[in-house]
Amino acid sequence: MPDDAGPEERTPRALRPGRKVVAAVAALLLLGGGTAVAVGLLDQDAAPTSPTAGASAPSPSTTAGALPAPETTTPSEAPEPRIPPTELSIPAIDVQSAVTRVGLNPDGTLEVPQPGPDYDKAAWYEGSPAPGQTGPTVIEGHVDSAENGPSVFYDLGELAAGDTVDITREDGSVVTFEVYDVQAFPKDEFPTLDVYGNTEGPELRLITCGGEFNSDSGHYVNNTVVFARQVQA
Amino acid sequence: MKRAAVAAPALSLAAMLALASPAAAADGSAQGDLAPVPVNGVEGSGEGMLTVEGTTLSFTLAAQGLLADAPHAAHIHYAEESMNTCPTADAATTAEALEGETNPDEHLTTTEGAPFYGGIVVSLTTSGDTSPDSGLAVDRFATGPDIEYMRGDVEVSEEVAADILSGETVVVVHGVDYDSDGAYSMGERGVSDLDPALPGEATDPALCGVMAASQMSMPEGGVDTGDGATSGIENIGLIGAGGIALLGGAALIARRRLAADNS
Repeated sequence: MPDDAGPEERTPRALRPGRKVVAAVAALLLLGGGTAVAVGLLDQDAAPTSPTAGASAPSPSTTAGALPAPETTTPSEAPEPRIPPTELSIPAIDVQSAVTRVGLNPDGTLEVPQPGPDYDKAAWYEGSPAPGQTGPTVIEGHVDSAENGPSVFYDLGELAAGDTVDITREDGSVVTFEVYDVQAFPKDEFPTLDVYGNTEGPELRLITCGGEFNSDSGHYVNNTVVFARQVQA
Repeated sequence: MKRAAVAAPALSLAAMLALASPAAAADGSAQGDLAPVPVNGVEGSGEGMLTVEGTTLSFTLAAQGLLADAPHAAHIHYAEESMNTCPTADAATTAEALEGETNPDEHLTTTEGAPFYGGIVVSLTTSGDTSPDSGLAVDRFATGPDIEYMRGDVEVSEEVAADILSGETVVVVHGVDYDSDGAYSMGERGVSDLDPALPGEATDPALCGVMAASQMSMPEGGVDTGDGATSGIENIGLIGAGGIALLGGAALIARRRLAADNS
């Protein structure tokens, strides 16, 4: 009597795989297929976190009161020396990175780390104050890359007020900043003075991308900006 | 005897500064928040940024809380002999009453503020001439209550460019509705100290801010730090192949069961 119906009737019985083999193959396919699907799904990177602090561009009426008044340096104050950053550490999101340098593109926009060994490192905008100097020290980092997935500032949007950032400088000293705000701004309505404007004391701006990803442009539509100010040790 | 190697000359100060601050598109910029001028009672705010490249000035100016549907003259003020600050409240008491002005100590006029911020050096018009001659060109200023505009084409003298970069100029936005009648009227304020044909309400200073030197070379806009690898479905191939294998395994089992049922 036949074991299976259909086309296999034509195969000589001696050449048909036995029940145990069929069972084993079925099991392997299920196991392998299940594992593949599981790995494929579990390995899925979540989209980068958007900051919970709010995603709307601030209207001008919120900025004047929200930020400290511009600094007026008295002649007797000696300015802090300009000592470039070399390393960055953000314990709350388990980030440690060397800090490279970037400048401005010819059109005046901020350069970003280029593909290569420095892509996944934080980068200090050299046109901004060095850590510890009065004004906003600007440090940027990629949120992700096509090659490696999440990048150095992937979790930046998870930071909250009170989290700290340690910046090591070229002379070995460490400057500590405390986060006081995390915001998302649309790139096409970027509030320049809110992010880069003068501050009363030494501050820090950590910048990466966030929000919706526009697959036509190949870019995220927002910037996530972490605002922090220096705390005395 | 060997000659000692000649030491390389030390970098000049200019060269060191150039290394420390890489050249950006602009020579520099100045910026500041605008706050209500004392005494005049405007409840508003604003901010300005002045960017200089050679003798070309570009600026952004934003303000809120100004008299609605009325033009608000705005200027950059400077004078070497001035204090390069915004006026204090006692400035309102310095001048005599103008024609039609019944309570001069309750109005701080542009002239009374001049010792603090100096005369007009640039008229921040929305178009056309920007010299002090356009100081009262009311048809080329923005209309309240909220203003926000920018220009990139203002030609200035080398002197004014240097004054702006020094962080000592002051931006003043004018227009105060003292009697809250919704328009620039004579009321108790009388005529303008700048032009007796205009009501003082049209020209008195409303908001003022010192434009301090920017602490950095201001970048343009946001930052492109990410190319979206973590957005959307990844590993489509792995999930797809795995899915097919799952189906294959399930089919085999189904056929065996079918055969078992049939046997």
